[in-house]
Amino acid sequence: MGEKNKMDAQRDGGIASVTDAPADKDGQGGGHLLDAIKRILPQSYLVLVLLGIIIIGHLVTPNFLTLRNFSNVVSFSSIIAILAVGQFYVILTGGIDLSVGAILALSTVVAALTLQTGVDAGVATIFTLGVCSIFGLGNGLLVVWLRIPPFIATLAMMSVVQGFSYIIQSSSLIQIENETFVVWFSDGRLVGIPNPVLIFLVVTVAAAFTSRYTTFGRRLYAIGGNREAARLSGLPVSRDLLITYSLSGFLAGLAGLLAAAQLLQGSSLVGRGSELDAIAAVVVGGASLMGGNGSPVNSVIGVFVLATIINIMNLVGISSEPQLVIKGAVIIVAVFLSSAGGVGRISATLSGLFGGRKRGGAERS
Amino acid sequence: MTVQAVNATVPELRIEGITKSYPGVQALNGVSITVKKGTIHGLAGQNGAGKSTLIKILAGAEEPDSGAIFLGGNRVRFRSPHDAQSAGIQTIYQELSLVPQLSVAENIFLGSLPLRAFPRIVDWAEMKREASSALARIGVDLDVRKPVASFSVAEQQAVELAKALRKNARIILLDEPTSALPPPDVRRLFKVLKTLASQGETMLYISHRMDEFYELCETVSVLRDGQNAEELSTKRSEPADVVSAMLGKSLAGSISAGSLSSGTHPRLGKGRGDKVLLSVRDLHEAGKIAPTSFDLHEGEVLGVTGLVGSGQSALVGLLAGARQKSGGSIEFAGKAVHLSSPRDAIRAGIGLLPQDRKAHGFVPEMSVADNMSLASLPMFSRLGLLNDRKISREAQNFASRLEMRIFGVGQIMKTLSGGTQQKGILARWLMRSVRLLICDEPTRGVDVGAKEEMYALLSQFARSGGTVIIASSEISEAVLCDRVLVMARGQVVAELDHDEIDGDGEEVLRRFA
Repeated sequence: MGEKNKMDAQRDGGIASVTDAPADKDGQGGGHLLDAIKRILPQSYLVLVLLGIIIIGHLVTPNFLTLRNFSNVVSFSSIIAILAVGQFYVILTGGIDLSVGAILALSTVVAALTLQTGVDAGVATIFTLGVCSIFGLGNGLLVVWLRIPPFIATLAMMSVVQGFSYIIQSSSLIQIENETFVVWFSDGRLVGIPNPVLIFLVVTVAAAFTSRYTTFGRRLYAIGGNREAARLSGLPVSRDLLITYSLSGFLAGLAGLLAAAQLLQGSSLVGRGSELDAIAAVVVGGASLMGGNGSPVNSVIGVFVLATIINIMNLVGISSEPQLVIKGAVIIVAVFLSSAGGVGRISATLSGLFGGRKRGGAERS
Repeated sequence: MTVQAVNATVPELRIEGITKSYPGVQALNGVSITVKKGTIHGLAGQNGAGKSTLIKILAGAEEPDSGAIFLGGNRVRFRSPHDAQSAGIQTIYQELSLVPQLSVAENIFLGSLPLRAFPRIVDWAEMKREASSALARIGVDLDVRKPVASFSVAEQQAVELAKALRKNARIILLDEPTSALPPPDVRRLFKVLKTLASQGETMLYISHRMDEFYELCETVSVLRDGQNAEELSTKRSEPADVVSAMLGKSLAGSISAGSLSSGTHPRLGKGRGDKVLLSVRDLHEAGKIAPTSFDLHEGEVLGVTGLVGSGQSALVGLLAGARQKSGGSIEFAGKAVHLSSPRDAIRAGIGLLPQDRKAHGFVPEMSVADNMSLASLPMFSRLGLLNDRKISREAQNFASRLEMRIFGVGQIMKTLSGGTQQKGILARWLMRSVRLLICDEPTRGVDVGAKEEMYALLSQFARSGGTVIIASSEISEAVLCDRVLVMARGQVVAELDHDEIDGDGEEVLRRFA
């Protein structure tokens, strides 16, 4: 709120000419690394929310703040976090991708089937990711060429992909016995970090870097912020949208590989509804569904906010039905506080209740 | 509209010492205005002078910190827009507040649909009758059963007026009602407003167009920096006086003054050079633009003018690659070009300042620097990686060159005034070093001061070797160009050289119909 007032004051005052304003964006020499870190780090409030939840968790159950539980939560979240990063990019452009859950399932089936034929794990991986990217590209083509609204296009794609993976699966589930594959995407470790966590970290950092430091990232913010202004500025809007939807498909495929290695099977039933978890995480992370703002790191923190709450509820023994209710409530509160400008409205209401009345009285006297 | 023992000396509306401050800003400081019954009172001022705050206070959307409002001599206090409306102050905003899908009658009665005695359902017959008579009062005849969306902007404005009149309207606040109207409709609206005034309605009229005050009003109050700057009688002053009062300095010799007063008018460009930059042959768009041919010389400022919707916007849109042509050829800098997207046009060296700044011009949530660099990202990157320091430095550069009033290039674009935003978009093209700048209504919705600056910048661009096309429905803007193409119904109907145009632009106007 204070920040906003300052902004308003700046606009209405509109005094200073820019000539003597310092290059405020660059900061002083030496602090570049710190600056860079500051830019990548999300707004503090979301981190505070996560910290608050962690403190509550620690207070209600001693089992929460243990290394084992921590690694549980992180491993559990890796898959959704990867989905959320892809989803973030789509939402950034003002779209939405409902098909990622289905593509995740397809990924497990395709991976299991290709591995069953006895090919190398690397070949299976590349093939699976390729197939998933193509379905993502399909979303992009529907949106860009046929101009079908993203919600509808990806809803239809979800149905297509679900049916498709069911057809090619043809039996109830397919076991995965390729050990290399399982080590890569589930059991292996590098410098003590489980591979799934490593993969998700690499994806997140790469996404954060892309969104902040590349022309591609900047173009996506522009496209989501004002599509027509972006087009009239000569940005390759159609191409960027195609890339974004393909990327979402690719990341859903990657998430599917983790799921397949974790479950040791391919099944078209895996990951039902996970697209909604990813979308929830992105909006909890403060991104607007209208597009043009937010950050992938915030989206990933959004995943952890939701995952931590569920973890705490599991630890204290709340059964799964009330969990759903609480999860829904958390999403509403978090989105109200972030995207809907809830903090500002609450403080405005409070100052209206107290400050405003006082001033009104003074005026009348 | 109750009959009162009207004392001719009691003003219908009196505002006294209104003060309003927002955190850090004094929006209004002791503003007083008196409006006589049955008159149209003009209210002028630059953007940020406090006009909109004053309107908001009168409409009940904001409460003043101090000061008083009197209606017919009685003090009134508004806590909400509803209070103001029931006291008889009706506001017609720039953006009309009608529901496009509903019928005219429904819109006029919105919120208070007439009901039958029994059963309590909507009395359509009554509604139609009443709506027609409300429209008849302002001299308009529309089929009240048809949806509002099927009528022109002018007719929609009439519906809005009828809606305001049907409620108890003692004062009607008109906030730039002509900003979206073509000239013939403006004339019709003025007739309606004059009729209403003669019937005893009282109006407060806000506009950026000086000549309108001198046609409608007896008195114009000018605000500057939240204070009363001057109160001018239109009989004893001229438009340039209002502008001087708005700016707080004499206008003598400036571009706007030149275009306001009849007689001589300055030119933005230095006239045509000898090299042809753009050569258009039989360019057309089915249903919009008839085959058009012309040459544009380097350093020239070409105006394309006509009534709103005569095709000037569409024509320049084709040249900027924003629209698809159906046929014809374009040659730019000696090479045949195929402009099938803005991207193609920009690559060739053509930049567009779009007409609808907010919807098409900039990314509201992005910073000034990011908006400026949007068309030049490859210039600021290597292997896809952005160099933010370079962007910021360059943006800084252009911001000071264009004298943008900002706190830093990191400021978010949507927090700037219209004129400053327009400069930001201009900077985008200067940064990209375009050779041809296409401006579609470049000064729409910006105040006089910003207009002046915009003209100066365009002139500077043209005189330093750039070439400009200005599409405009404002005569006063067209007459500043080196050459003017006049359009009507999607066709170029005349081509006039700067010297052939008289100060009032009668020569141009004559060809509009």
